[in-house]
Amino acid sequence: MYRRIPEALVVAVTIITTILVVTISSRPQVAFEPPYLSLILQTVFITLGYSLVAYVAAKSYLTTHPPIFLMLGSGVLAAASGGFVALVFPSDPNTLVTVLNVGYFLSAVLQATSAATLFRNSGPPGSSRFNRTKLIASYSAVLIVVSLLGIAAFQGITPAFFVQGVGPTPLRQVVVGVSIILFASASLIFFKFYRESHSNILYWYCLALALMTDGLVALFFARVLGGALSWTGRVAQYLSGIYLLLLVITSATGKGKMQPD
Amino acid sequence: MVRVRTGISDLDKMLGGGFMEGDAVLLAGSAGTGKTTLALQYLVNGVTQFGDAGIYVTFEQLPDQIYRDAKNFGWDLRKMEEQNKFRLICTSPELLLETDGGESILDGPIKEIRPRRLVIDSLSHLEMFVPERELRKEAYRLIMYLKTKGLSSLLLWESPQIIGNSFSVTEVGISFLADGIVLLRPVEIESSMRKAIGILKLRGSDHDKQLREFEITTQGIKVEASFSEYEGLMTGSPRKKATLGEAIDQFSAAFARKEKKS
Repeated sequence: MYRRIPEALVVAVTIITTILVVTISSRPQVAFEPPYLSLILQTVFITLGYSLVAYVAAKSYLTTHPPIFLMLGSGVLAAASGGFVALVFPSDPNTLVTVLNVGYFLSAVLQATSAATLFRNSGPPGSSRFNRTKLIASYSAVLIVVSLLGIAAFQGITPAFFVQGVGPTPLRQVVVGVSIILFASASLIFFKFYRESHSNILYWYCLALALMTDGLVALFFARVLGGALSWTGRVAQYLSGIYLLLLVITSATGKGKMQPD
Repeated sequence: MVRVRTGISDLDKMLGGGFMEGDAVLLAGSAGTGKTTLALQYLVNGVTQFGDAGIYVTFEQLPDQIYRDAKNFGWDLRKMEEQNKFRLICTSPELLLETDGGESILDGPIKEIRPRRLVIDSLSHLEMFVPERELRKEAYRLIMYLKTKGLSSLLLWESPQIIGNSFSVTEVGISFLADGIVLLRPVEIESSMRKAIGILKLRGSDHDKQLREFEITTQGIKVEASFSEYEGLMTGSPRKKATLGEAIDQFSAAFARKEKKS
């Protein structure tokens, strides 16, 4: 009944994990960072899928009101905007890494919280009062925090996250490490609920979170921006964007409910 | 342009007000799609709503069966016959096509009740009595006869399941002779059988191009909304169209349902 999960895992998550193991063990130091390439890939693969999910989550929140949609939407928006703002400062590796990592950290906190909401039974949906205000406030807060963080990091106000050639600072490792644990936990919780509901939407969502986890694991070990590990992590994140896009397509075509095999 | 209304309001809207007066319209559909019901309703509504007399010519059902079936919809055909507003003619295609000294078997009833509407159930039966190469000619002769009498006729045609992007309603070219074609067909959507009605052709008039759902109720045919959420109905493999509204509904259901359950 759940044969699609192992299939997709073999195709995506496992392959990336294998590449991770190989590249971590060989530790190549060669960097490949053509100008604008990351920006283009980020826009094509991540911004589109993540933003669509943020939009659908926002509309779902306005329609049905459970706070999970607010957290979930803010979470994907944090990841999408973190990656986008980071690329505004491509010449400064520390700024890029700081904003990207904090964006993912914020996203991981929100994703884990929304998953825990499902797990812990949050009770009846919230009221519809001020929902639009709450939504605007929440999404705006995410965008403002990420943007201010980018400016602060570029001005050198924030603590260093990454030194090119040397690698990440302990603070950055703690931030990414915690993000990995939170994303992995959220993915497992959504997977548990997928097994109960057979929902194709939860299927794509838990896989996308698994890929985000994989991507952060790669970045955790990366010492060179634009190195093999760095690119492995990015590819995993691009793939997560494709999975989120598939989630939206699955929902839009009325195939959210999986048919038993 | 004078229109002959069917009395089924949503169908009349699809037709741009009704059939054109004096037109011969083909009502095509596979078995069990509701052709006979729609044709009878066209005549009954003609009598009860518009004061138009009508003739029902059948080759396949016995009169008692038709009276009984009509009664189930609340249509008292015998009473209409007594009022000289309706005639039920049960005959064979051979007899209909014969002209005895220039006289048709329809001439008598036409003189008696002066009908405005006529139904032939069904034109497909001509195939059993007329060689294939003659069929189009005979159908043309019959249609021209009905037109010269000023009748707005509905000609039933039992067509096989129409599947695929390219098709003809009849394989013998009858559809070219008809002024209009109304298609009835079953569609399978999410494992349930539903019925669709569409106007394929209406010479000299604009018409609704959408396939609409219809039901056979205790009052007869009831035309409902279009299958706007689906595409590929004519291919036999309908798919739900991708919409953002659907995405939001499905997304909400996937997460919100679990929230309640857990």
